[in-house]
Amino acid sequence: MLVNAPSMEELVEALRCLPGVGKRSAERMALHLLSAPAEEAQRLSEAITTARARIRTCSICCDLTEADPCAVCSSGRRDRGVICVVERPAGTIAIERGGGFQGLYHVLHGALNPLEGAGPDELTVNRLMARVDKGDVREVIVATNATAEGEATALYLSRQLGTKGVAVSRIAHGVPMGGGLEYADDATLSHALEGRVRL
Amino acid sequence: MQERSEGVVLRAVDYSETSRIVTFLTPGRGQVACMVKGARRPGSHTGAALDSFNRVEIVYYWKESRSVQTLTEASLLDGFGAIKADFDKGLYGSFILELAYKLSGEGIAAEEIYAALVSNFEDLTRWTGEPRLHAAWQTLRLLEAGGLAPAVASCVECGAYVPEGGCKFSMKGGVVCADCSAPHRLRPETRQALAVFSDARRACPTETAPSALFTLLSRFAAEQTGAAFRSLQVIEQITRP
Repeated sequence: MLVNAPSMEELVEALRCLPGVGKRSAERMALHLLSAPAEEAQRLSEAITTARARIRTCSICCDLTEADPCAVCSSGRRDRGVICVVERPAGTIAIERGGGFQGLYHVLHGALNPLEGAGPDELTVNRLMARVDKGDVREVIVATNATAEGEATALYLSRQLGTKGVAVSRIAHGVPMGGGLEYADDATLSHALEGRVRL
Repeated sequence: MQERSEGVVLRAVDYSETSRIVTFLTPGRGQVACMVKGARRPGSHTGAALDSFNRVEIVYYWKESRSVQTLTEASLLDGFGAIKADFDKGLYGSFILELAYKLSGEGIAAEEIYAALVSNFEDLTRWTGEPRLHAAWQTLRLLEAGGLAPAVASCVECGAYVPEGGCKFSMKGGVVCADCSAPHRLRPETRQALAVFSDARRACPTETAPSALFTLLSRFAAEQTGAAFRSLQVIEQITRP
């Protein structure tokens, strides 16, 4: 009987640290791991340990990487004059998947959020400023989320970078490709109209 | 029971891969926390309306025994875009949102606090002066709506009239006369600004006031609500020389 088995309870608790995993999902995962071949659980455990040991933040762009500097920062094919600033490492993955950007990245590891006590000191803003101060950068593209916190971060960066003689731009927000206007919400539509471009 | 209400988004926390728990300030029920399923999905209709500061109309299932209700609909009434588009307005506006959060409670009607918050934000969108000054005025309006405004004419210790000019000040209630003791001292110009700002109920006065006024009132608000304000820490971080 697994109920009250300390090792089972510990496994369930450990799995609950994953985003979106509640008690029931954790129990299902734990039961799967226990009933699957031992090698499967071993492989998962080793993969987590190895990834945790090898993956760190890039000393240049602060993205997660196995080699420091990361593949993007050390590539000779990237435009070193353009930096795209994102909130989280997931942002770089999404933009790389799109394939249209050839510059470098900078990961802030969050956004300014006064209500949660997150100020510039909690982000990697100082390291971004140090990169810009080196003088190779022509443009900084702020690709923070289209939320109040993302907008505040963009405005803050624009103010800080404004004195450094680099162009600061913001990614566009609006109707998604393939999306019908009738399905867009009010806030997105009003943003799209504000950010309209002349044809 | 399904309910419909107006509300201002006070805060939002991600929950699971696609949902979000959003806390609204509503006039009838004070703080209402709602689970918004699918709010983080791309193309979600409700997600975009639930940004901080937004004034929205919401429909939710209310169950007395639950601490988190279920939201079914949200439509944007006012996004206060001018506040979000100005860094300083947004920064000080965050303090005002946090103050409204600390002054209100779950399930306790907050009609006056709600009305003050909305009219404050409407005034802030048109404001062209120093946002810190406007925040001082908003703080007074919210404290007044929450029944915690500082006394500006009578001593909080003995009730005696405190003549114009510099005076002592207690974070426990307001101005203090010369005969009673208090740890803080107000300069004549700060005292005068406090009186002018307290009297201006409809819109923020346009005359200048010492920047110490906001510091005084934000500390007063922290003392009165017994809470540490996270937004104040960020304001200090950003405004330090």
